[in-house]
Amino acid sequence: MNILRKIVFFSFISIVAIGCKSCDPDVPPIDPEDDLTDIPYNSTPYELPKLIDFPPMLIPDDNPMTQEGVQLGRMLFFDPILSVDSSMSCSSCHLADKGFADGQRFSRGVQGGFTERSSMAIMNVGFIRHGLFWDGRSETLEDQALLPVEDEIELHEEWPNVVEKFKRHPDYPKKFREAFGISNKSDITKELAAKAIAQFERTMIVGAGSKYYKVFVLGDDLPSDEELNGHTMFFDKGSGLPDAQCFHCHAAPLFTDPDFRNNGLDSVANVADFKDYGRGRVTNFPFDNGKFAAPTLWNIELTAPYMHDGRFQTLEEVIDHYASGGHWSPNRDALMDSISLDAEQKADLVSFLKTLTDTSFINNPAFQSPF
Amino acid sequence: MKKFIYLLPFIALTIFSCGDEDTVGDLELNFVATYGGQPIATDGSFYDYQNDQKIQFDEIKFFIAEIELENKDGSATSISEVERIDLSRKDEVTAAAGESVIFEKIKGGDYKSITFHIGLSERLNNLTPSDIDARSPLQDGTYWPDWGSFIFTTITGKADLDNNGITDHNLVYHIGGNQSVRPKSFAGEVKIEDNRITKLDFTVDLKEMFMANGQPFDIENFSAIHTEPEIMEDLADRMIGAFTRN
Repeated sequence: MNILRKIVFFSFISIVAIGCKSCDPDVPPIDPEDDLTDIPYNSTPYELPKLIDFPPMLIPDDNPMTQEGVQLGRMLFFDPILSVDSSMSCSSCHLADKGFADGQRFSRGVQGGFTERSSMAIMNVGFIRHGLFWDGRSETLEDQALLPVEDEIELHEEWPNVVEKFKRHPDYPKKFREAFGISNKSDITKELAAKAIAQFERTMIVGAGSKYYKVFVLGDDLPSDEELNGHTMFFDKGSGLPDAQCFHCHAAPLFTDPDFRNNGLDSVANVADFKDYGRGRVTNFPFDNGKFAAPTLWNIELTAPYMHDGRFQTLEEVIDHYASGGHWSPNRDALMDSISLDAEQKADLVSFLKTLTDTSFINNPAFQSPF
Repeated sequence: MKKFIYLLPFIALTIFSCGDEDTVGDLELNFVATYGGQPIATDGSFYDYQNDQKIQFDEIKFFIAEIELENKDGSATSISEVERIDLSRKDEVTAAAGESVIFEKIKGGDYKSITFHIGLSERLNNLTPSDIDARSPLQDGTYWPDWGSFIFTTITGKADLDNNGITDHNLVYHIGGNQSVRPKSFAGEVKIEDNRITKLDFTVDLKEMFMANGQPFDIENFSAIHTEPEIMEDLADRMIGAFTRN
């Protein structure tokens, strides 16, 4: 009897509570027109291409690759809907013909301001696992994709506004449903948008169409003498040629490095004197000031200007810098040392670097605007 | 029913007295990098080398592999295939705390020692990143294809050889290659108890490496090592001498 009374009592309380909730003016009523469950949700796994020697890509468990997710991500990447005045998209600063950088020292944002660092080339970013951006402040592509939207120089929009635009859009609610199985327009979030963009970016794998891959990986082609000499010096293979030491920070097959380094761009007596603190701004460790990511060298021919501030216009200038050993500062990387290279050897290194150009990547229809 | 209640302690005692077969505990390995006993900070701090010369450190990273506990009967219990330890620390406080790796659900028991390779066993080193799971510590960007090896140990820094307070010499020591792996056994009881964490502390004293037995490593003439096998083996031998279990 006691138990029966308790059941009746709690049922009564529950009914009252639910009734009160339904009257709550803060909870918006569910609009049947926002329901998406009539749209089929059968996502199809997306198989990433596998390149010889490349490591497996680390895919987050909560964001598996699907055809529909990649398709949505591609749309979002190219859609100016992400910016405050619908004038710019991710692709505005990541242009295919510039190797998905933008060819500028600093990128111009929606209201004419300039970013403080050069646009990074988007390729093989799915393999990066030690932080994205020049300073590594985002650990994942999903996190990275969120930031440019609300950056006041870049897209200068607010995510709640963007999400509202998605909900009102004629196509996006359906695309989000197909990609992520959401039931209602109200389920669209910035996190899902970022997941879709991340999925698209993971598909942007470069290398297979390069001469480097055909010559030095597959053995299906022969290098020129200049390319071979450059390869020898790049990887310190000896044969009477100088060790250029490049591979320490640009190791194959990704031609990048997990560490952040001060590559001697600026001469400062104290690490507090760097104009751009770089990694130090993220870690708050003064000895990380002036350190930046070593970007991939794939398609390096297409991604000028070089360095985080785009100070070098040509690959020749870059090689001159590294051959000099760079400027001294207390935390200049231990790998920075002067290297004796003559003009011909420098030219050979440039020839080798150009074997990393993969025009099939930048011309791939899957990476062009869907609009 | 009352009889059953009286039997409960006996049943429990029977279950929990079946030895260590069913017990599991966690094992924590903690590593601290020191120089002559002083925790190493990678903040530009100088450490004595020889003749008033100084050295400083930027990176101290290494693999340990094939981690095993040795049972009293001589058999081994495998703990982990490979771990990457990064002892690059921004100040003495964090340096003194070091880095820990924790292994969960290790079979309970009294073990007589712990062993691991400093570096990678040949089996692991003969793999390439394309063969390895995406979450493995070996996917840490340390593989050099043209060398056919992972970098087992990375120690970089600088030296002030003329003692004027300004570094004038870069130090880059990349140890790798199958000839450079060094297995080491650390004797001493390791007791794994049910639902407890057993912590083992290790010190990696780099003064032992650079000044081993009063034999300074010649940093002036060998400041950047990543291919010379003999020098690398010497460094690997010195590195193993730097490890102690506290």
